[in-house]
Amino acid sequence: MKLNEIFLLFRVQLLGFFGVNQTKKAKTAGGKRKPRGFVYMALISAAALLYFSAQYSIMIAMTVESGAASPRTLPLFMSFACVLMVLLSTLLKASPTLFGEGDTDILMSLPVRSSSIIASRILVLYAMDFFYTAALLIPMGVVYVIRFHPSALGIALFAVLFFIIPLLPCVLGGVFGTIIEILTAKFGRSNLLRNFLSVLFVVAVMASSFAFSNGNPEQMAKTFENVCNKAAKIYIPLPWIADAFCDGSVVKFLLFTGVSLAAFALFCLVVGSKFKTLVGVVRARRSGRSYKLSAEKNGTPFKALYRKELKRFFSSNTYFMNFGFGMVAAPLSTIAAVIFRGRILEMFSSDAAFMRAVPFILSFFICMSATTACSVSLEGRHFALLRSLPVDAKDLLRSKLAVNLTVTGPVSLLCGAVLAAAFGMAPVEACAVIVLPQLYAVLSAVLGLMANLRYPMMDWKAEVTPIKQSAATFIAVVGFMPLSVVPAIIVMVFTPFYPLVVSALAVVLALVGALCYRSLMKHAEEKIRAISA
Amino acid sequence: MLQINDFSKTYASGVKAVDGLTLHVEPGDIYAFIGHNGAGKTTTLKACAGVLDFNEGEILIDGVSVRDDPVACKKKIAYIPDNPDIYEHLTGIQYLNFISDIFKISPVQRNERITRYAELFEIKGSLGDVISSYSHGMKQKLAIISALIHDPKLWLLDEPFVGLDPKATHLLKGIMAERCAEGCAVFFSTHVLEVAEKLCNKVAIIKQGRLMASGTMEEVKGSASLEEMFMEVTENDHEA
Repeated sequence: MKLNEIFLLFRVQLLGFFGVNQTKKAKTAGGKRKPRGFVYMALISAAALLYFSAQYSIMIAMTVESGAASPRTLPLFMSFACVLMVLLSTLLKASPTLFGEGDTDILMSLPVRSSSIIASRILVLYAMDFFYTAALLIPMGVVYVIRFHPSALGIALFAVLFFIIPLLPCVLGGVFGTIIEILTAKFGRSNLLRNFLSVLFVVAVMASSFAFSNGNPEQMAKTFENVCNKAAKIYIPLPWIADAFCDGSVVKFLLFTGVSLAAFALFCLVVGSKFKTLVGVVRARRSGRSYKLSAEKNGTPFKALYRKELKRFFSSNTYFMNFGFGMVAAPLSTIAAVIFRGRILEMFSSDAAFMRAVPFILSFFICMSATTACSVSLEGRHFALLRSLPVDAKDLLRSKLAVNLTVTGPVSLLCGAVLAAAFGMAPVEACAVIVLPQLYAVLSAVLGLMANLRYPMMDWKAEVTPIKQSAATFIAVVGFMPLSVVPAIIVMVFTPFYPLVVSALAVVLALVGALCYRSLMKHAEEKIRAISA
Repeated sequence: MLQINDFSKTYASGVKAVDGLTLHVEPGDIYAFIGHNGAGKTTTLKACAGVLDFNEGEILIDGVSVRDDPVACKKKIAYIPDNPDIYEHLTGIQYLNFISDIFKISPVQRNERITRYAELFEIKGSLGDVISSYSHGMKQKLAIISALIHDPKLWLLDEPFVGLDPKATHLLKGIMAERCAEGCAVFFSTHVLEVAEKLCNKVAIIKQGRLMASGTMEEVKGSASLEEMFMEVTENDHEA
């Protein structure tokens, strides 16, 4: 493993992030203008994310203060949240990033060590999550400094730790991802198994986060402290972060840094030594099953495109978890809300406030599920083939919208109906919880597709690139959040006029959705033709 | 230069792609490797390039085992896959600089070689463009230039003529001959038997992972054409 090799390999990968290099080298004015819009969008989204994260940190800090818990709880809790997030995110994309990249053959034929290839790819995983970890840790650091005044040394140590904290969970995600890949390699439905494991992980995280649903500050502070204590037992280096930041402990800082770097180096050396074998395992597909040709069913071009699109969504764990997460979380939250009805209502100022918030919570999950945002990019090089077929461009786009609605529509409808019945909602609130999420489902699907058509990324080597690193998915994941949050705030502010405000919102959503859909269909052919694949 | 001794490769799926292959490429050889689709050509080339792990046998490059010291071997070779998967987000010149950095080529040498070969293959003007805008042929030309930049002793090429225009094909054949005259060697797979017959001094025919014939062109084909010989060898079940 050589540093200059790692740097060279990492730099090449980094140039592909969000299409940065293509943009820099774009020859047309249009090509240069497009990213400017993305940069503004990214800045607004980053500001929004930082704001929400800061609010959350302030809430924890206040709970900690009023509940007489230790101030260390804040960095401990937020660092643990960061660790979990990086771990989950890495777990899902570890295998395709470490072993499935399209440049593997070329790189393996070059005189570079396999461990350097692995190291550069772990750094790619690290870089992918950096945006989210920064959004969690920076506001936490600022809030802690303002409220609890750590020493200058502690602040300096945290400034360095901020870059190191995500490294260890990245490596652990790589370890677990590799183990899952090996275990599932010989299993025909490995994608299904991975999807199942991912859902299981989400259930575990959501179940544990439900522990914070108690409204009493003292009890909440105790709960935060208990979670941190338990987390420290599972993730041993966690207290070292707080020791370095809160107490300025150089020893713990060095210990944490040493352990993180040692784990990184060890993983690279061990996996690097078996790299060829692992690439072989990942690429191996079950064969030998004797396929028998039977009477094939026929269908319309739209049906064929729809089936292809649906299969694409469920066959990729990265795609499924990135955009299906909301639709896994929505029913889980619904079940939790029904079971723990009393505790849930305690969290809100009144029962009515909860009833009015529910449509937006469901809509928030829907806005996280715009599968269309990378559906065009995922065609990749095959897009030329698709374009060569006698298929109407509108059908092509409609099939992508239909899959998005298949994923979000029924689930949100069911959740809405269950919540309306379980909480005995009044007619206006029941209508809102059923209709609003459906309107959001249409709008987010259409906007996601529009974003992807504006920022297509067709020249990827691994599917994780358009799913995680493209401008369109960034807009869909981060930029669509305010779509449900802002109207929720408006509705809460104008509570006395709830029926009027919520009806107006429904009309606006329907109108915007219809207009966007009309525009999309009107320019479908032209937009599809403009994509160079 | 290249010694493949009793090489076998079985994939995790259970498919035995290559079975007990032995052949030697000497300095100065232009060695054609021919066979049907799925015969084991790409598997063999990948194993020689250190891309693929293998179960049995030994592959030596300039006397060094690919298994024992892969990095040392890779410094002496250049491998071009059948479909060069080059980083499409990079520009041509960024890619060539990346390869030069990996092989630690001095700025003077890389400039001289890039200029020479880019002019020869007529893609100098496009080196500033992103690779995703290149045609298949241009990508292939870029892959060839990147494979020449470090002056390798052994060229391992998988279907190198696919996608090249007639002029580039002619140039590539010339470069192959030139390099072999300097003591280097080329081992490549192809389906274009006429090119193999005219260009190569040695040939090997592989069928379902087993070597069916190998040796100098004259030894293998005799008085028949290579195409006739290939058809005869692959239709009948006799081994080398």
